[in-house]
Formats: sequence, structure tokens, C-alpha cells
Amino acid sequence: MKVKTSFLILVLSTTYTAMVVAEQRVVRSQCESCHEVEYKAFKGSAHQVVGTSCHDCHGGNPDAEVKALAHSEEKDFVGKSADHVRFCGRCHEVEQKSYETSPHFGKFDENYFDLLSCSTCHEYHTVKKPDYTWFNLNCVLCHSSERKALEVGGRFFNVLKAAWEQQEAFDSSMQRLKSKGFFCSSEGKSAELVRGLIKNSQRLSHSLKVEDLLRLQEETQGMNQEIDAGLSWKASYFQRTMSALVVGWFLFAVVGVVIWKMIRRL
Amino acid sequence: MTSKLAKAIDSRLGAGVARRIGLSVAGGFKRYITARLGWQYTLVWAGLAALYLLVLSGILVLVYYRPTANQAYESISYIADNVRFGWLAIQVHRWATGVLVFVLGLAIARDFVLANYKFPGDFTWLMLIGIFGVVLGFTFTGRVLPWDQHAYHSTMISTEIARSLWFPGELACYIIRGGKTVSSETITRFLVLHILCLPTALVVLGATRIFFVSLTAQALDNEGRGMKGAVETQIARGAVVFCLTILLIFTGAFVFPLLLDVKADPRTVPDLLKPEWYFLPLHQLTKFLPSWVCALVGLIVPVLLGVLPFVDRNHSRNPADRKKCISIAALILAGTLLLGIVGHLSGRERTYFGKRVRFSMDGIPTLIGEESQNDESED
Repeated sequence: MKVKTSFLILVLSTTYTAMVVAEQRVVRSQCESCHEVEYKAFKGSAHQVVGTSCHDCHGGNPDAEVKALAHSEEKDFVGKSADHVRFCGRCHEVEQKSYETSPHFGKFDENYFDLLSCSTCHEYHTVKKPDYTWFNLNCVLCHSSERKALEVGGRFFNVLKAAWEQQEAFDSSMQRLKSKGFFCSSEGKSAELVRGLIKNSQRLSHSLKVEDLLRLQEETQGMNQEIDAGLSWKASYFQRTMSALVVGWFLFAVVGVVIWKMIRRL
Repeated sequence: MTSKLAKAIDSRLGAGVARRIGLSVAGGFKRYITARLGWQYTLVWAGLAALYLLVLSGILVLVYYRPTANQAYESISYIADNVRFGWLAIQVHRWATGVLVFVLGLAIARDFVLANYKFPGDFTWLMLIGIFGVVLGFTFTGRVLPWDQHAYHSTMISTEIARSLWFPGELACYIIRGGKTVSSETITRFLVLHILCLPTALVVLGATRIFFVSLTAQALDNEGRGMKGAVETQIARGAVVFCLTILLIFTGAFVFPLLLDVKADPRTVPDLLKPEWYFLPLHQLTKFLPSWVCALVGLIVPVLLGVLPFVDRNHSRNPADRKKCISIAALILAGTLLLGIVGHLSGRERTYFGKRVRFSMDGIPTLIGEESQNDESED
């Protein structure tokens, strides 16, 4: 009797597990089956990289196979949003608040006959991160004849880019030192703090206020100098000790030969 | 001056004692030892050089080291980053350990091939085996102290092997770990062993061996007394080997640093967990045989080596006359080397002649295709 019961439990649990696994496989492609174009654009976007999926923004039921159920209002389905800034601001609260104080906020986009919003620069499903091509495409598109506006935008890009480049340089020299046996733990911790500050100021940079950038430079300058001093001290320290070793080999070769000859002559 | 000292010693310890001590300690400086000369007898200087660096770097590290699970890794990273020559001390300590084990292995091989283990050298042979065991104890207890991933998980596994013996496996494992699992308790007891018990054992064994070897050399010295300059040349050879070993250890520490893992985390086991090179053969053996067999092998090998002088009744010292003995040893050595190489390659991917080869955990190679650009597994 006991054997039979345990066998039954085993069969049932296996079937259930198989069903759950099979269902999970289907779920992934439910939105894709109708919204193929959107899904293709979404692939490789900044959102997809961090693991955000369709229903995180649009709500609805991603498991449902029927449109009416998938777009269920009970599951807070939001299709196209009238107000993009609020739509994105549900997660990107800091960016939203910062953007609302910027000169862009509430302006009319003459190219698209729409209000300027997040998607004007970051696009819809492709969700692009800012880089130089992005800067040329987006800012120059509207501000090609306004030198001052371009200068402000350019400054933001240059400062943030330089900040990241410096962090990358620190990273590579930290890796080099780590491969020699150093730990660089205090520098690593400071670099992490600085990265947090840069990310925060990236969020705040939606306001397009130069003061935010200046504050970033002020806040990170001291820490960057500390990291730089620590890393370069270690590197030069390594070099100097290494040269002492080379001198040691040289002394061994020269003095050793001389002493050896003296002893053999005894 | 010396004669007065000799008289003082003799009057207290008995007639002739001063001469014996003087001969054994300063025997090398007298001009009448001709036995045990040559480069093959300079290994002791290499060993002493490594030991000297180990003691020096060990003291420097110990000044800042904190033996608790929470602080051990941080204190090591503090030493490497902030203490002058701290990183070098850690590197030199790790390199000198490897060199010392290698030198002791060479010394055992030398004494075996040249039959120095036979009477009257049987006691010194026993001490050499003892020293080798103590040094392996040093490496085992020392590896847990930095408390990185490798330290934690490899100690868990090796103590698990000790547990596999019927008796006193469970108890031994509990005593070694200082509890049911590897923890702060393990660190403190390993530290006590590492800096108190084992050094005492090593000094006693090492000093007695040098004392005995020196007397044995005198006992063997029954021909060609007073070969001029022979002893001076031997001391010069020793000095060369001493300096060379120190330079090699430093160069190794600079050019091929032995890096520590990330801080120990009991929840995540690293993908590839390999011991130091001298434990690789035994580590590989555990993959083929049940662990209690491996634990027995680890116990029986030193016993076999120890009883060798009393079992081997062949009085010849010439390797050509001891073919059976030498060939058995060569076979065992070849097997050990093969196990070591397989152990080193297992679980890794390598490229040979443009072909990509993956070695399974048992060390069986399978071809997985042509050469690829990124060769990240070569660590």
C-alpha cells in the first residue's frame, strides 16, 4: 500500500513539474507572437539587458494566449501612454523629477508634432543609452543652429564621458596591480562610491543644469585623486622593488664570480 | 680561548664531548672532511634559504594578521595594500613554500639514489621524511589562514577525506576542524599549529638532522684526509646555492605571483578547485579511488619510506647494483608525476597544434574543435 502511494505521489509530482516547465517555456513568447516588430526592437535594448520584460512596463498578463486576457485591465494593462514622462517615471522617479525642471520639459517637438518626452531622445522599445552618435543624432537634429544649447549638451557629454573614462583607466590599472598580488581594496571601494555618484549625476543630468555637473566634479575630485595616488604609489613601489631585484641578480653575477675565483685559488 | 671553552664543557659534560660537538657543528670548517662534498650536498643550503625567507616573511605577515573568519581576508588584503613590502612578503611566503617542498623532494630523491638512507644514514633518512611531513603540515595549515574561497573549500574537502577513515575518521575530522564545519575555530587552531607546534618540530628535526649528517660524514670519512681547499669550495657552493635560491624565490614572486581567491563564501563552491602542485597527485587519486583508500595511501607512503632502510638489506650503494629497488621507485615516481599532470590538466581546456582539447574532471581529453580566439581557461 505504502509503495503504491509513494509511486502515485512520484508520478503526480513529476507530471506537475513537467507541466510547470513546459508552461514557462511558452510564457516567454506570448507577447512576441503578436508584437513581433516591437519584440525585435526590444531585443538588445538597455531594458532587456537588465532583465526587464514587456509586462514590467505595459502590465497585462504575459501568460495569457488570448488577446483579451493578455490585455486584461485587471492586471493593470497599459498600452500606449499619453504621458511618457509619467509612464517612465513610475520606475525612473529621479530622472522624471530632474527632467521636469529642465528647459526641455513641456516643449513642443516640431519634427514629430508631439510634446518632448523621454522617447524623443531614448526611443520606444530600443531604449538607447546616450553615447556620441546618439548626441550627434538627437541634439543636433533640433539644435543645429543653436550654438549655446549644443555647448551645454556637449559639456554634459564630455564631463560624463571623461568621468567614465577615468574609471575605466583606474579599472585597468587596478587589474594590472591585482595580477601582481595587490588587492587594491580601499581603491576599489572608493571607485565604487565614485561610480555611484556618476550614475546619480547621470540621472540628475536630465535637468540639463550645469550646477549638477559641477557638483559631480567637486564631489569626485578628492576621491579620484586619492584612488590615483594609491594606485600610482603601488605601481611605482612595485617598479622600484623590481629594480632592486635586478640589482640583486647583477650583484650575484659579479660578486659571486669574484668570490668564487678567490675561494678556488685558496 | 677555544681550548678553555672545550675544557669547561668537558668538565661539565664528560671527557671528549666538546670535541664531538665542535667536530659536528664546526666540522665543515676543519680541513679533514672529504665525504659528502659536491653540488648534490648543497640542497640543505637551498632549503635553509627558503626557510629563512619563510620565517622572515611569516613574521612580517603575522604582525598584521588577524585570525578570525571575519577579519582574516581583510587583514591579508590590508597587508598587501598598505604595509611596506607586505604584498612581497605574502608572495615570497607562498613561493618559498613551493621551493622548500621541491628541495625536500629532491633531497629525498638524492638520498634514495645515492643510498644515503642505508646504515649509518638511516636515522638521518627518518628525520628527512619527518621534515618533509612537517613541511607538508605547514602548507596544509598555512593554506587556510588567508580565508579565501580556495582555503575554505579545499580544507572542507581534505578534512572530509580524513573523515572517510573508519577510525578515527569522524573524531579526527571534528578535532581538525574544531567543530562540525571549517570556521574561525579552524583558523585559530591551524595558526597555533603553523606558528608554534610545527616550527618547534621542524627546528628539532632539522637541527638533529644537520648534527647527525655532519657526524655521519665524519664517520664515513676514512680516506684522503686533508684535501686542501675542498671544504672551502663546498662552503662556497653552499653560498652560491643559498643566494641563487633567494633570488629565484624573489623572481618567482615578481614574475609569476601566486594570487589568492576572493573571500571565502561557504554558499558558493568555485568551479575549479585545485590544490597546490605537491598535493595534485593525491587530489587526482581521489577521483579514481574511494577517499578512504586515498587517506590510507597518504598514511602508508611515509611509513613505507620510513621502514625502507630497515627492509632494504642490499649493502651496495651503487645505483647499478640496485636495479630492482631503483626501478620500483622510478615506476612509482612516474605514476605520481602522471597523476600530477593529469590532475593539473583536468577540467581545463587547452590548445595543442591548433586543436582545442577539453580535459574531463578525470583527465580524459576530448577534441572540441579548432583553435578559438579567446583562451580564457588558461589560468
